[in-house]
Amino acid sequence: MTYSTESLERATVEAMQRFSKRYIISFIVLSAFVVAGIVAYINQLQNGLYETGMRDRITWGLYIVMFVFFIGASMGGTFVSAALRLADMGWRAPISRGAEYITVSALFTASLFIFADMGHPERAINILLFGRWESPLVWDVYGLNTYIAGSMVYLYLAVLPDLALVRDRVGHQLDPIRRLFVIMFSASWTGHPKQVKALDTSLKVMTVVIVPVAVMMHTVTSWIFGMTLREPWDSPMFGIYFVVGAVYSGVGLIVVFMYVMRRMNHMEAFLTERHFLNMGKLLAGAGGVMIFFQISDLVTAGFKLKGDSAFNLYQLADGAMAPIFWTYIWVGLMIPLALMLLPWTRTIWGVLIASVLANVGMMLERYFIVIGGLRLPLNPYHAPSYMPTLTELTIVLGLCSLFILILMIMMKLAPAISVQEMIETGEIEAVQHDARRAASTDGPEGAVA
Amino acid sequence: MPKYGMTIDLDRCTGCRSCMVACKIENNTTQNAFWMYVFRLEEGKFPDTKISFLPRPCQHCDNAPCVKVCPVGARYKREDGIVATDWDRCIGCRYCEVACPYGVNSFNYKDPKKSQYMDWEDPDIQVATAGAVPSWANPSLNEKYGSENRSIAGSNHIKGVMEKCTFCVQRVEKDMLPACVDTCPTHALQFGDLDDPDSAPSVAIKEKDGFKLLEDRNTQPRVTYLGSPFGPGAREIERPSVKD
Repeated sequence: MTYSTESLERATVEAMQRFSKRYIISFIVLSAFVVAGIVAYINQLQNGLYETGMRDRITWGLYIVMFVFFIGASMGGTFVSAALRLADMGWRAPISRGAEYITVSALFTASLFIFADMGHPERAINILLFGRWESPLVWDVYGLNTYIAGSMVYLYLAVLPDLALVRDRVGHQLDPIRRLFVIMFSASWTGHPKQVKALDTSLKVMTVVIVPVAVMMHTVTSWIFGMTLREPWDSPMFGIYFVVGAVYSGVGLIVVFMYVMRRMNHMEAFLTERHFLNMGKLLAGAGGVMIFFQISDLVTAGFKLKGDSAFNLYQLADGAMAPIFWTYIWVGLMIPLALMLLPWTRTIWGVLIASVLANVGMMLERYFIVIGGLRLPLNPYHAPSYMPTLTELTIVLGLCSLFILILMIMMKLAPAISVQEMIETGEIEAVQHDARRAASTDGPEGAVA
Repeated sequence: MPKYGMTIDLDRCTGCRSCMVACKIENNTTQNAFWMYVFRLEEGKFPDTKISFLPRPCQHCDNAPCVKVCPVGARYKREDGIVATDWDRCIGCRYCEVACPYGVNSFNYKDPKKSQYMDWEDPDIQVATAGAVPSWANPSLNEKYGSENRSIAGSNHIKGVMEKCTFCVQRVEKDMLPACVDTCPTHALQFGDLDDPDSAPSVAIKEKDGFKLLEDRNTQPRVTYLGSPFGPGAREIERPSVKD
């Protein structure tokens, strides 16, 4: 079997049209979770944030933790897609579409977590009416909106030729809604050399623009915490620490998406083990930098053990945050790195497990950063405690389901693998090479980057 | 324009907590919200223990971390030095509470009418109150204050907004002292114009050495503590309920 451009086009377009039983069932289940989240949110609106576990002193809880996590998750998409495009890495081609989807969906979900957290969501317009530039929260609002707008433009530019492909091949077979969508958004793309050149130039410009915007977004998110007088947050390293953490969890999330998408759409031929292993290398690299930051943070603070940072280190080492902190260190950082370093776990499954663990770890890290920072007593009072309530958990579950739902919908609106990029980067030949080698050695070998 | 400030003489404070009660009555704060809170601290090991008290209102900082982080300008610094909260504009993001190192903010997590100390709508209680105006209906708390004409006085208005000590702006603007200062039986609390060298707090500062809370944070509080500070090993005797 050979994998020509023709077979790739057929496979991606067919995957768009097929609605398997599993797809429909998961769609219904996730929608039910979203509805449960909406019910919990209405209840929270009526009874106030009293429904949550947040009280004075620990006044930010799971919503802000998940907000920071999803902002971080969005990073991987931009990073893989734009940074690797800048570096001219061909192997990004079958991954970049999913990565861009994750960016848009994660940013959208993250912004909803802010609304879940607000005491008066209907007054959000005040940020535009009375916004004060001194406030890091205003930087974040404008940064987030710039980032969402930029990623959507970037995604649209990348997806445009593929939409035209769908329109030309199966436009007439699609249901009316999607047909309208495809016709509207493929504009008048015909693949004329002039159009190709214009699109190429715009994509290059957007690639250069979106990377600094993404880095800015994660830095500003860390500054929401870094601009306060609380010792564990009061660190100039916080910005870069968040950026690397975001790459770590973002890359992990893309691997999970790649795996599910590959299974659902039968894309084994175009997403080979090599792509997973390359992503595994990125994951291990980001994880290594995270460990380095963690060590330099702990050692410089732990050697001196002054005042507030002593409290923070004790609560992490054997206090209230210890189970979360040590799970993060071992399960979230060490095991994924080990999985990628050991040759016999360097498989698709190994990368997948490492990615899932990395995301669990980063969620825990966001938790002990936010809650641990707020636990710090700055006056002579006892450290407060926090436990999320059912309302909070339901809303978090609902929004996480929404995140997956958006991805599932986007997967059916356009090809989940960028046909255009596969051809442009010559990756279509590379996957044929992968297949030949797999056949000849009767089992895939290590990665060729 | 006066620049208001407060002095708290720790040697005079007996820890009677009348100021806390006066604040509750004047501003009608909800259960578990203490705009003025008196920490009761102990140091040392039995039998060599020392007890000390620390009344803590909002410090009304000149370099206020809460004002700097408020995204909508609901928390703002008035010309007379008071740090005020506009409950008409607050979006309830609680960033001020995260930024404040003194922990003086309290958020209306639920409908304030539901966190009263008694249910004014209960018919049995209405027999006793005999048609009296409920404290949240105190008209002076609903007026707008200052040249900015904003809703900043009192507590208990709506759920989902941040509230804190206002230096009793509704009293100060009528040339009265804040409720806690007026009530203090030992004159430990003094309030007045810090620019005026003859005002009560200015005189008190001149007479006695003082310190400010968390001075190393450079928040420049307008509240000065006089007398000996509590030691570094001081711990809270009772644990206030922050759960409910």
